[in-house]
Amino acid sequence: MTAAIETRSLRKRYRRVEALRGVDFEVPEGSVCGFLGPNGAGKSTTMEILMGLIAPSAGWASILGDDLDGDGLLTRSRVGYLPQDPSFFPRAKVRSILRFVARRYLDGSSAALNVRVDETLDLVGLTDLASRKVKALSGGELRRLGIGQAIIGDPELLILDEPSVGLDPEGRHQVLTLLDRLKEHMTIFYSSHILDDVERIADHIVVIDRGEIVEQGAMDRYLGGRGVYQVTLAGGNGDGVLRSLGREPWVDTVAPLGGQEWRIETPDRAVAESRLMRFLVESDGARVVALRPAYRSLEDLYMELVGGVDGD
Amino acid sequence: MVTDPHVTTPIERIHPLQGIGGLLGVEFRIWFPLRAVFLVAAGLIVFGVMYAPWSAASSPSVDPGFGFLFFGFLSVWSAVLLISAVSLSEGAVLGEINRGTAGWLVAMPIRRASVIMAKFTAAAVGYALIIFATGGLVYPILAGAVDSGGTGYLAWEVTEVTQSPIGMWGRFANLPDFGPYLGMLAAIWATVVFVIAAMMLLGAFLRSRTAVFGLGMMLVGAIVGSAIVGGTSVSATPAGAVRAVLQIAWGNDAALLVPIVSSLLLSLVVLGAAVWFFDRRELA
Repeated sequence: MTAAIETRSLRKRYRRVEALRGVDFEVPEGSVCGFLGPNGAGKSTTMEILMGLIAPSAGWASILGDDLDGDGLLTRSRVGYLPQDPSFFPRAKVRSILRFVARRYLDGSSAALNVRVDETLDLVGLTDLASRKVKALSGGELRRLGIGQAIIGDPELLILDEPSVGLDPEGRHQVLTLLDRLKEHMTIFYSSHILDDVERIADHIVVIDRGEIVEQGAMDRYLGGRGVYQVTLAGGNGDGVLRSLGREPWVDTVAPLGGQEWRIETPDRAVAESRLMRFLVESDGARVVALRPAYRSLEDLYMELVGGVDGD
Repeated sequence: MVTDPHVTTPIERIHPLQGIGGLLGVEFRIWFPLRAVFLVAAGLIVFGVMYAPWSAASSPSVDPGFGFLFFGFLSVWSAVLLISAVSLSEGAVLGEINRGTAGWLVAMPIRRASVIMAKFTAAAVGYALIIFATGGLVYPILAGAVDSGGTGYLAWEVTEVTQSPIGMWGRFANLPDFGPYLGMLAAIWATVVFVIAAMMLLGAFLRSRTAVFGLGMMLVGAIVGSAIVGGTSVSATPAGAVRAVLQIAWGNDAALLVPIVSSLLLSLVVLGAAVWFFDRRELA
């Protein structure tokens, strides 16, 4: 698989601070890659180097197969970018901003560009605010405009720096749904502190800490697809319920942990999540007191890697 | 090339000043109409403030001297234009860098040079229209003032300008013909253009807007000071352009072509340096 993004020994030094200390990672083409790390770890610096906003002190990087050494304009025409703190022309209207950006990325008639703008407004839920000035937008609306301007050029690679920051739960859900739709058409490389979101849509992760890559690879490699759960039952027939559960084709093993607790392992987490609770609730003779996942989550992995220490 | 009017396709070619068209549109909307109208009005107010007392002081028997009005207006107006160029340009580059707008722009397929060139071009065109519009509006009134010796100007001007707007221009000793007068305006414009280019360079190089503004004001002070005391040694500089304007306004001969051309060439050199620094500037 070819790499949409590749870096080798990428370094960035700001006077006494070494923001990146030889960063090496790859983002496979067609993947959704979560870029994780504590504040100050070097996520935004890496993205800014990739977008040509700052120059690396040393090292090499390429985007979509092109080195960053040249002016990279044609490459950048294939990349959409949302900075961490997006800033647009404050007096311009939402529609004007999207039209301005569309013109930079796309050739086409005015009517065709307007259609593209309308589609994007709809995608990011800003149709009703199309005539509002940028300076009158809330933080969440501004971020949605940022996502809109990043995707309007129909890029092959989308680089998003904290796309969910400042969004309410509904806005966050919209962004996740949008990324889920977009991942069919483009490579997505995005940083986030919301690990549940990354776990939900990413198939690849890169973890950076104190300017160094501490882990990278396919999500399955770390978390797998197995479902492991711990269940606590009350009532007299817990053993019977669990024995019949063990005979289900979608269950691997059921093992007692002592008292009223059992450990259940299934080969497919998605299937288990859709059936396990219903099976237990509908069984006679025992009442479900607790059911919790016992597999390693992305949060567990993240805490192991960066030790839960915030770089700020 | 897209032929289907309903289809958009990714851009395929990158031009030397990729993105400048869109950026010029944005910059021109900043200059027109609000900023341009404001600066033309400011110029006319400066003229009115100087013209009214001069008009009141003069009579058929008392002539306070046309040179006082003409020289005084051009001096004060030039200073106002140069100071406005510093004030309006100090945040043009650095303000956008600090806000993050510059980073947003150059993350798109927009050449960095286009950002500087668009800002410079819009300001240069804006000041050209402002200077020639204000100067053009003031000229008939100046002409009337010379002819009538200080009284009854407005009635005279309305009649004279409407009946013979061109013919009257060559008849007054201290007011140049319209051609040389346009040359004086061009010299003022060339000096303003140089200051704008210098502000682009300072914005692309420095990190503090206060420093940009302060150095810009010092530059204006140096230009005006050199124009007053520099003599012929500054003739091929922006200060020489201001000096030539003031010399002509005072009734002396002075060459305009050399200071205009040299100021514009110097502006291009400074602008090139601004592009060079902005190309290497970190926009995080």
